[in-house]
Amino acid sequence: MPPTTSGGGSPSGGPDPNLFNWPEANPDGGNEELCKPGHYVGTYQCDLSLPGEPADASSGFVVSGPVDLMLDESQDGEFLEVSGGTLKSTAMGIFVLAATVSGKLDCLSGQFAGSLQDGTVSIPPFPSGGSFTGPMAASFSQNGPELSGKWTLIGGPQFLGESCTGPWSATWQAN
Amino acid sequence: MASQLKRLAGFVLAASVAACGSNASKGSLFSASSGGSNDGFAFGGTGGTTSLGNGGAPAQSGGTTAEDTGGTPGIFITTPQGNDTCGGQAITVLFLIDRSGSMNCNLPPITASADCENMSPPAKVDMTAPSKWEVISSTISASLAQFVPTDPSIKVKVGLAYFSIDGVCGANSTPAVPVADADDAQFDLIRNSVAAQKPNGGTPIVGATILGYQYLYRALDVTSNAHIILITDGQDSCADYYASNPAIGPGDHVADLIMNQAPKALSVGIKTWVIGAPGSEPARSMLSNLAVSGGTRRSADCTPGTDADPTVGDCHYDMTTGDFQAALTMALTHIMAVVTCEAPS
Repeated sequence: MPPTTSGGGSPSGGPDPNLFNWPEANPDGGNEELCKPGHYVGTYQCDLSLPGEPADASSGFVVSGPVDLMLDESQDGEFLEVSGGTLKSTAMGIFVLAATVSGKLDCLSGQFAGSLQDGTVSIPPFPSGGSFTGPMAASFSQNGPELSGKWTLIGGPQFLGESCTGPWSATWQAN
Repeated sequence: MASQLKRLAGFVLAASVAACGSNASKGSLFSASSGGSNDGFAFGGTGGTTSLGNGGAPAQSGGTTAEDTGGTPGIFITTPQGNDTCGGQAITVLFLIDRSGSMNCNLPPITASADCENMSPPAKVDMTAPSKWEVISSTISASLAQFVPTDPSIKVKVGLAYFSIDGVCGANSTPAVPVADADDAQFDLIRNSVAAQKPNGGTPIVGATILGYQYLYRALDVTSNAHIILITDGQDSCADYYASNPAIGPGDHVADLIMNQAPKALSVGIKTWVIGAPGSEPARSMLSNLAVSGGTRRSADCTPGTDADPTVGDCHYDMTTGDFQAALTMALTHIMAVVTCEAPS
């Protein structure tokens, strides 16, 4: 809360320094910037529980890999929008996961809200045998800058609603 | 673990094999909400309720008012309250102009204000018609010559600031065009500045107005005859930004502006003129109360409104209906005539 103003002039007779206080912003991006456009690269992970079994780590199967986002300014400047985003599986894994990422980073709140779209799962050399979608949420941190939060894999009909939730993060690389 | 992996692999493999020769489904079970909503900050909204307007509007002393002719946009024969005396005076004017993203929209009826608010990003749908920003910038540019008073004993200085200045919700006490003598060179600086702007960002009315007061009061050391002319097409949309900024914090900053800051500015000789462009319909009460507390209510019997119905308020220059360009021209003509002592105050 800015200091409360007081009426009248200062004791010295000049302008009262306690009047009209408000933090200055930086025209080059703001002193409280809660977003930064550019290329973000990071990783995701979750423990995929098996159909019909409790969703705990001991019965899960770890899915992980790289996430890659390009965030561009929207015209009104209040959001950064994902102009290109992917989530893939590691080359080491038996499963091949791939999905596109869409979403927006709210520059006012620093909150990212996104989703996985057109997700596919396959075991090479076989073609895609399943689909998945899911939400992605994260908070922006100026330290990095970085996006970090949670994501959820929601299996398509082939997986009877199988799902997992885990962390993801991506660090700013360049504009 | 090995057996579990085998089971899961078998599950996927079975699905993969089943997909051979057919279109593998690409389900979209989850339809995520795309992006956080910009709830903005409605007057009396998330920052807490405000109690203004009838019975709550800041008191104003002195001055006379004339009667309004009936609210026709563009007709301004009212005079603001005030006790200035003109002649041989130094007059300081700071334009404070909203350059938020919604200024990119066409004017109603091409783009209704509500439709503009729902656009992401806000943009013109009719490229042959001007945007709100284009109307404002051209009208200000055309009106500047009126700052040269016919009375040579009156000296006018003018400058111009925008909000936001960072594409989000930031404001700055240093204007884009610092206040200087109202002459052709200064007018050119202002015209070039408004022509170069690309509307973008939120609507930090509170921060921008307080920093405008700060500039006039501290940097220019004004003690009287200073005026801020605020032009906006909306309400302050930056409550979340304010709340998340440790130097500001949560609270009802709109109410603080109206109840505390604007009256303090008035007490040190700074009046706040308020012009509401199309899009400011939901902010009529807030803008009207700001005009009242800022010393420029349009008439003694105008209604500043309350937060019970924020769309009601006619104590400011409400440009939300009718011909915006004509009404803005008339409003600026009237305001400039008063501040330069060409019209009675």
